[in-house]
Amino acid sequence: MAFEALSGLMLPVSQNDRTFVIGDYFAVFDDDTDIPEVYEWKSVIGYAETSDSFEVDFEREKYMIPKNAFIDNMQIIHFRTIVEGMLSGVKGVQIRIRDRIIPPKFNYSNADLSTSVFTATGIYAEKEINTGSVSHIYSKLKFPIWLIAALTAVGSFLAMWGIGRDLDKNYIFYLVIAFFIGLGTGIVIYLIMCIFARYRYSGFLKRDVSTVENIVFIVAPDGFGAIEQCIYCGKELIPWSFAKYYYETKHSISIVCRDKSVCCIPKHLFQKNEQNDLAEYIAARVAQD
Amino acid sequence: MKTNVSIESLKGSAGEFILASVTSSDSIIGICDTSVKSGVCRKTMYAGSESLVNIQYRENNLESNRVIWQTSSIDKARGILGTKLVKSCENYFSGAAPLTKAILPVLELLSDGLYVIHVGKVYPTDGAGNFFWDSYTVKHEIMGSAPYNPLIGAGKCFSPPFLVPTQSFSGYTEVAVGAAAEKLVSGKKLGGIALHLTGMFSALLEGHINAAACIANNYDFNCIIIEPLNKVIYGEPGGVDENKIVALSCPFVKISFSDISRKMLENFFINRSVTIPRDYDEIKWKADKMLSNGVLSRKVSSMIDRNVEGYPDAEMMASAFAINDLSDNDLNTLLSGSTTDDEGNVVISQNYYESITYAVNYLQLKDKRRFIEFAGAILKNPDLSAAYGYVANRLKYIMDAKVNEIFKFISESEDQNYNSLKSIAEKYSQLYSDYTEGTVKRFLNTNVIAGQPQTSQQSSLAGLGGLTGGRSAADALIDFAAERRGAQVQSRGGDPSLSSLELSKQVNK
Repeated sequence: MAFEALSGLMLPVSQNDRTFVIGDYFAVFDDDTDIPEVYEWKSVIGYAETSDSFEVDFEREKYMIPKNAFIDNMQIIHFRTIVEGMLSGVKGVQIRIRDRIIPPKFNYSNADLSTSVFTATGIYAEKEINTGSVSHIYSKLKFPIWLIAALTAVGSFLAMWGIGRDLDKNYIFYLVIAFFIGLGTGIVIYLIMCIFARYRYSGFLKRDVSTVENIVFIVAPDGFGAIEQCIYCGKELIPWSFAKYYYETKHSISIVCRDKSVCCIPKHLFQKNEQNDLAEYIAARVAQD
Repeated sequence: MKTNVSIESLKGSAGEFILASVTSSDSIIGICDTSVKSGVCRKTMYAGSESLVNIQYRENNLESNRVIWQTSSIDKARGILGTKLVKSCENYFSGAAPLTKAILPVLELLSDGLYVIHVGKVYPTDGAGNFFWDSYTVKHEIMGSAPYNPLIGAGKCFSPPFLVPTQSFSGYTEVAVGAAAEKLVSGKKLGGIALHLTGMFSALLEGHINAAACIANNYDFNCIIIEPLNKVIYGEPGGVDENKIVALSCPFVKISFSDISRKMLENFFINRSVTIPRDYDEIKWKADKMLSNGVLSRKVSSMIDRNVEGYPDAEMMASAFAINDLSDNDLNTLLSGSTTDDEGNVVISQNYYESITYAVNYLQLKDKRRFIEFAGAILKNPDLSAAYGYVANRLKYIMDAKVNEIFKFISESEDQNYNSLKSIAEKYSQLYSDYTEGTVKRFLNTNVIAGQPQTSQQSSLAGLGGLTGGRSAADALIDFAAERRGAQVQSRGGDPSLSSLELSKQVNK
């Protein structure tokens, strides 16, 4: 469990005449009765966040909480932090959540933050997310992209040879053109990736309420984290053992977790001299991609 | 923001209690998590920014005893607490205010949540026969501190009987204890206020000197016990609500959802078990320190040491809590050497000597008369000689004419089974004769000083209390007279101390 110190949340949902009280337990008051249905988090079998609602499934009952029942973004973050914090460590839960700009709260566990080395607070800038996304995708697709580019170059060379036929005479010429065609293909794919990254960012803007929130970034001996300031308790971190690798761009350092979520730490929030130390500190704990 | 406290008076299986809901509080007094190692939980009871008591245990282990130790003194938080605790305690025990009114200022200091408040008798010990005040300065595992005790089981309710001090032992002075003892003798009621921590243990917030005075003078020490209502329980197995959470519980009581107002229930569910007080960082930092006593050479009075010996330990309490009721028939069954009654029901346990031990513990705490009679019957039953030592050692702390008779019988008996008990019996006889002499003198002195006969309430407070209930000087005199009558009857061949109980017939058979 994590985020246990975060205060509970009472959420009246007029659509289904119920009041949900989310805390150490999941309690549901029907508006016509004073006796609640109460569940322990360990009995949850499914949890999902869709674009317009949250769903919490128990064996006996499934509850749907529409996002328009929340007063503001902060309440949505509060809700999902309690739920995900309580579900961390609960085994056998089917989880369906959409991509988030920061790692979901399942990954966190209680930790000692008294010796935090690097802490900063700020809002993500678009370029940090974009460059991070591009860098992340590029690191994953580097080989296929340049394989396609090389194959395109070879293909265009063979095509030119087939059409022009005069290989001995135009050998150099065909080779140069084929190289540029391959290079061009690679660049085009890269540009498409940039467009995709921008599209992904605008997707985050639409889907993930955390995008516009102040985020607290922490890097400490026990782990790291990026937590919305409105729910930050100073007691939780993602352990280093949960980090898979990291990659660094001009604007950010991104730590990729085992569940494929990414903790992107913007460099501009740290002093110039701290930026190098931060990179070295992370490098000492996680492998670089 | 001003703290809101709403109160309801309710009645449970263990007696009357108050259910209080605290909201919008500043959490001046509470329990917070100060864990530093993963897998090891440490909870800290604090007041203001002072960390007072630490409770440490392995994560997700409800059955293991907790390591409990003091880290600081509540005196250091007097600035923020003011005189609220002192006044609440005085107002209630002097009768100036009912519990609901007297406890209100204290409830305002607590962190948000639901609380059960009741008044109960507590033993100022660490549950292992040591005076409570100087027993928690060294980290060690405390017997009976596990939240779940398999001996008691999940279905039983009990009032937490043991105390953990929050004041440094340097606050103990003979002068202060003497002054409190004078109040006791003059008929004033003294008590304390305690906040339940874990298992059978509560932290004494107020009344350390009163506890010492009560124990030194063999009076019962009563406390206003505040128990956070923080657990949920499922419906009865096999019932309609078997897999449903249907009630809230704390050691003292289980309250069904239907008995709690919706507002209070909402308050329960919205509050988290982990709270972060305003001065969390300072509390956590202080929680790493140990309490430096500074007065280790100081010792409690010999009376406290002596009287503490007779107090029940955690195991005894657990076995007593485990039993709902013991009828005379049940006791007769045990004395006849069986563990099952005529209908085939197990009286206490399949293990015979465990049953005897539990029965002795239960009776000692709940019914002194029957305890003496049952113990006497055991000691006179040659088939139960294996239990003689245990029973005699429990019996020796009770100053009573009938107990004196039993020990006199042992002293005079030539039965070899009693050889190991002879020294206990002789010591007891000596103590008993000192006790009766002292009690009569004190009784007479009190009346002479007062110049007029005392009221029954005063006289009951003026006497020396036994383990299983305060004994008045008048009682002692009556017992003394009974003892003499008994001696006369015995000289004619009778056995008045045991004749009232049917089970003694069983023994005689």
